[in-house]
Amino acid sequence: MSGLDFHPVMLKLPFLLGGVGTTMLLAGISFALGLLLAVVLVIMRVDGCGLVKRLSVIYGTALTNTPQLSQIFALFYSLPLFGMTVSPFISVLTGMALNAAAYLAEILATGLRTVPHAYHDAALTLGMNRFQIWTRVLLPHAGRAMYPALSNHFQIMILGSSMASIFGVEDLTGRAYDIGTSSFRIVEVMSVTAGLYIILSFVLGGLLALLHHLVERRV
Amino acid sequence: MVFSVYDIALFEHAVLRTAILSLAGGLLGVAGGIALTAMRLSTVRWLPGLGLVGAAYVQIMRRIPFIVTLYGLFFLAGALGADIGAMGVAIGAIGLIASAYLSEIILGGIRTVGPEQFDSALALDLPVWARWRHVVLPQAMRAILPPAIGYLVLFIKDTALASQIGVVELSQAGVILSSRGLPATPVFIVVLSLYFALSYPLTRLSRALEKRLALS
Repeated sequence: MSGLDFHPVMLKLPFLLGGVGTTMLLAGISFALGLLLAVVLVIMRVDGCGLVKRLSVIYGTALTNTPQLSQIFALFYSLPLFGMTVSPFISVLTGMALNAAAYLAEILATGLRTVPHAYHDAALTLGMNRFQIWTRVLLPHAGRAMYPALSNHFQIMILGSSMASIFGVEDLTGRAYDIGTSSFRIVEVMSVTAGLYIILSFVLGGLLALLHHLVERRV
Repeated sequence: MVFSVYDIALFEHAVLRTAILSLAGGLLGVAGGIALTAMRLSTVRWLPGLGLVGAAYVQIMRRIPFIVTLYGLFFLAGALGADIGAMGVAIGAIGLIASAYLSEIILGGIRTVGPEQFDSALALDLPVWARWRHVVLPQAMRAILPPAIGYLVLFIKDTALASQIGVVELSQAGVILSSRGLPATPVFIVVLSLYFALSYPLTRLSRALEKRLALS
């Protein structure tokens, strides 16, 4: 081995750091979309009956027992067959959102179970309609219980967004791979990239904890 | 559409690869997880940094994307001239990440055993191995086994990334067949179903164990 040389990586550090934005964007948007879909899935599971409930459970089981990468591959290769040509970024984003929805629905369902049934009955007694019961009683209460699990899953999605590099998206890992293959210093580039992910994870962890603290104080 | 004999042979090869990767990586992870937990619990006086190193490893490994670990290890093995093949690298990378997650689970399980259990085993003057073998581990297992098996499903899913360093496993087989011109949708339905067939029994087992071994 001809020794480590970090010079080429340090030269390209601004370019590498630019990838953090794409990583955050990818994880952030797919998390938000996934959460929306998860809310729908959970409402189907809680309020729905028979087939509707079944569909939501099948969706969750199917997507949590298969790899996210294969799901994105399936989308990436199948969408054009249905006449949908979208950018790699959009395919990865869609795949990640669909995958996240399954896990987030699981988290939401567990969170909802922590809300005592009496709250639901009390809301009914007050004459709230279903929409009000969900937005004013169930979700706010469950939200508190599931915040740690949700922020944990967001961190998992930051790591998972690295798969986008396989499809040619220039996220942190994608840019790292570019620099690595053009400078032949992949080991050095990957260790710097790993360091960046670690820093990102600690910073985000801190910010999410701060957000939790602020929201808790206001409520 | 119908798959040819060669397509089916490719699927067979690929499923086997995915299964070997998950199993070998998982076993390596169990060994590494036990070693890391031992480090984190160690009370050896002349090696005070051991626990810190173990804890730091777990904290760091869980914050690096698996694909970065995989690329890093792949090119590191090349640079060092270690001829372990793509399979070897993939198994090693899964072992590295699995060790960190399993160590958390094992340590968590041991912590569910109350301190009075340790104390009474000490009071009975049981030797070290008997304290662990007959007192602590049988109780800790109830909290370790269900999540550990659940995590095995996670490692099966991580093996899909081994395709990126040239292992022809299940997801790579899907890519190969669709690049060869087969319609992608049925190909990937087969790929995803095969992954499901590997993962779902473990998910069920983990849930069943969780119910049966529930700490009352």
